[in-house]
Amino acid sequence: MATISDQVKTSMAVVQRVAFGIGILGLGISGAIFGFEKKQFFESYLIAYIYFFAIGAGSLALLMIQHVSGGAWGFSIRRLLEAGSRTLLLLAVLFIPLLFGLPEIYPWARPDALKDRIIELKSGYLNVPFFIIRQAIFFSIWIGLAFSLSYFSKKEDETAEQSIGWWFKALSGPGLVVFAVTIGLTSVDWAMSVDVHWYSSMYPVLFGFGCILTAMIFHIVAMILLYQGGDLEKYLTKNYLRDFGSFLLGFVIFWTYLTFSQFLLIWCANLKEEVPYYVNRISGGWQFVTIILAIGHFALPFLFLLRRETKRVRSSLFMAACFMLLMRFVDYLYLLGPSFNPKHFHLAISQVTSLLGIGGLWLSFFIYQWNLYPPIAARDPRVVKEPVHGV
Amino acid sequence: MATEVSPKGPNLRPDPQPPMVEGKYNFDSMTEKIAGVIFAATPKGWIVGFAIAFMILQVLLVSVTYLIYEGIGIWGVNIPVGWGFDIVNFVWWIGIGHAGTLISAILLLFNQTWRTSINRFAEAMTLFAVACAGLYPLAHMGRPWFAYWLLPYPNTMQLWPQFRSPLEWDVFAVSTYFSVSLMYWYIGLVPDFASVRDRAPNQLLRMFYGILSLGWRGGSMHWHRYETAYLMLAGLSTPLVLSVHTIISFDFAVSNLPGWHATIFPPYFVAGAVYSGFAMVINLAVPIRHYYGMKDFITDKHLDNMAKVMLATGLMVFYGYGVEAFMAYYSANEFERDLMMKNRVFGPYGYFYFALIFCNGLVPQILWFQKIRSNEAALFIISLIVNIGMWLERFVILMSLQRDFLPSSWGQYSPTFWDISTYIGTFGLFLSLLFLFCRILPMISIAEMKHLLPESHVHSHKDSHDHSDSAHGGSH
Repeated sequence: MATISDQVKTSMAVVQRVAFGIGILGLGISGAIFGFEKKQFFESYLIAYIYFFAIGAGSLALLMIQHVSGGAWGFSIRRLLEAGSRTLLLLAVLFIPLLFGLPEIYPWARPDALKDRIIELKSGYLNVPFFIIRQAIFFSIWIGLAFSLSYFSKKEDETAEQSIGWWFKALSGPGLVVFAVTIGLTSVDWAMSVDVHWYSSMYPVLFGFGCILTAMIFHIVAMILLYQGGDLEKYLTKNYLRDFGSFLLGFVIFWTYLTFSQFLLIWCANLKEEVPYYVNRISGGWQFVTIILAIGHFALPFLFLLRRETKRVRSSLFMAACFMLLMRFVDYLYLLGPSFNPKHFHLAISQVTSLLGIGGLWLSFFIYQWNLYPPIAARDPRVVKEPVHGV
Repeated sequence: MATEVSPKGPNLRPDPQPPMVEGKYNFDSMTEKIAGVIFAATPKGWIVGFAIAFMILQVLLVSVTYLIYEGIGIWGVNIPVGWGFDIVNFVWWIGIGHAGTLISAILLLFNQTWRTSINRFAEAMTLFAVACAGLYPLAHMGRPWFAYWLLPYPNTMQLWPQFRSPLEWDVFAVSTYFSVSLMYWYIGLVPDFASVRDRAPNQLLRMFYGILSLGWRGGSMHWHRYETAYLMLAGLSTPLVLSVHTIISFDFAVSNLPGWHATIFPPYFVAGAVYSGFAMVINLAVPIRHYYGMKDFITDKHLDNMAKVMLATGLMVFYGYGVEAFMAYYSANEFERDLMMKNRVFGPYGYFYFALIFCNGLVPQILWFQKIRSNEAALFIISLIVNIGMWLERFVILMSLQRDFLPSSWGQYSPTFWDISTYIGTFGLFLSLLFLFCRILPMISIAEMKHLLPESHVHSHKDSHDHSDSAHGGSH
């Protein structure tokens, strides 16, 4: 039975308390900012919220993917993914404040919105009641999936019944289909409709994949930190780490592929209803964020992870993952920042406080959830069967 | 090539291979089984099959000859539908090739042993499909003898290709694809050529296969270089799975046309290509394993896995249709909305759209059931339907051209006899090549199959093989 080492346990307890404190403090300051900068508060809150939501939703997607596809990589981080997916419960609660700021964020939620011809044509979908109903349905589906998968996981630990494997697959296969649809619509609801006239059919795919990418990066960092010392260390061998390094490399390339394709097609077409999205992102100071992403989210990790050794060595993979975690935030800032502040680059103080606020609460909740279960699903059939996939 | 593994490492690979070979084989009987096909007397069924394929090939020759003689006026293309069957079939054939690359390269990198028995003929299928595809753009030039003008070579005519056109990108994408796939296929064949050479009944055949095997003697240095080259080519092929069909999707998406200019096109085209490719592999694998008695090598597990890939990619494609339809509504752009409803769904070829949803979206859903996935007759039929569906998809996309921005310039497309005969003719080319391939080359990789045998893993309890360092583990 694999257990967490004592050293990690003590530091985890400290981190959990500190994170909680920072979370409360961050949200407190954000709340104070809300008093005089309402719009800015909601904008910052949304960006920070989506960043942590991506980890929660991406964990759920990865959890289902590994149940369907098998593979030792999934087995070794299964409990982290389960804990990550259960944070959707907290994320659903943290979503509620946004409901009070819809008109601040979304042009279509403003009272005079229907004067705009295009918004009027979309109003069958983009209206406040339907928006709230959708989010309620989506969150119940995600939370339902996350907790049922964890429920069967617990049952597997207790009873070791063979039939439980069937349940994992039966939930995960259709679950992934439902996830793809719901996350796609969520991307439109939360982010794309900020630029209410703009549309891109790649966007749902890019957003959904962004969640998976963010979660994968987070779990690489978490795994390396939490498995240290004790007998969990055996899941940090080069054979395991290389799989994660390869995933990271492959995912980074795929993210670039999606992002660049969307940019190229819109830039080439140069249509008045599409191109403003990128005009905002290559002017007014935002062009530097574009360049930072091109270098930091693609070129650097690509070149760094191309070598086999860097993917297998714990310290270098850890460094790469931490750096990518930062870049993921830059990407989410880039997703919405230029839409909120099209003419000039802007990074508000409330952005930092809401990031710390939501992040602190989320992290302490994540650690709480992770402690609920043994760190390794010891009765997963892959413990003895599955070979390591390596790239 | 065993590498260091932490002594504390969990024993996750006591037995590196899932049962991907059924029946009892050793090295010798396996070579005999696969290479034996080549030197056995030509089966009657093969002669009949090849004769039919070769006759269909003549249809292609007549069609292309007449096309070159008369010009592309013999096709149904017109204004506004400037691209017709030729691009539909071009995209369809190229798409089919993708499964070969995915199986041979990506599944190799992921250490999926089930690729081993199907990779050889899947790669052959890739090459032949790309050959069929390549004919269409050449033929559509009208003056194919000027095809070399597409290449940026130094010339005195001040000729310079239009680099801003995705059609020009196609030239590079497709030719790279073909050459890398050919090299990869050939490198994989080298050790097998040697096995065949050693069994050749006479001097002439020994020389023929001997030359092809490049003097292979099976020394450890040979294996070492072979595996390095093989792995590097796998790495090179991997981006091609994405790039080729991405460029093809750009042919449509870069233009400013509703129904074509959709940013989701690149990944959705790639998924569609893999989808149709796997359908074609199943369509080929089922008859081959029957006719040549290869069920021990191409097992039910293989078919099951391929069906799963088909289901997954099929769902992605279906998702793509959904996103397209949703975005047409969400865009609130009158042209996008009209195209979707008045042309695509309820237009002159509206029934094609419903047929497409049926073939590509609904029918494959029965692959969720294990019972269907283990029934090869059902799989064969579903794969046929998927191939039809993928053809319909390209046709439906193309028919966006019928409704121009002004009703006065609306038109309609219908294929002529020569459109259809050219399409049928390419099947002749594809099948003729495939029949020849089955007759003179080992259609399953002998060298790689041997790695699946228990005899290959005599050391596996002592040292763990680092499978990614070499393509197939360490012992030979």
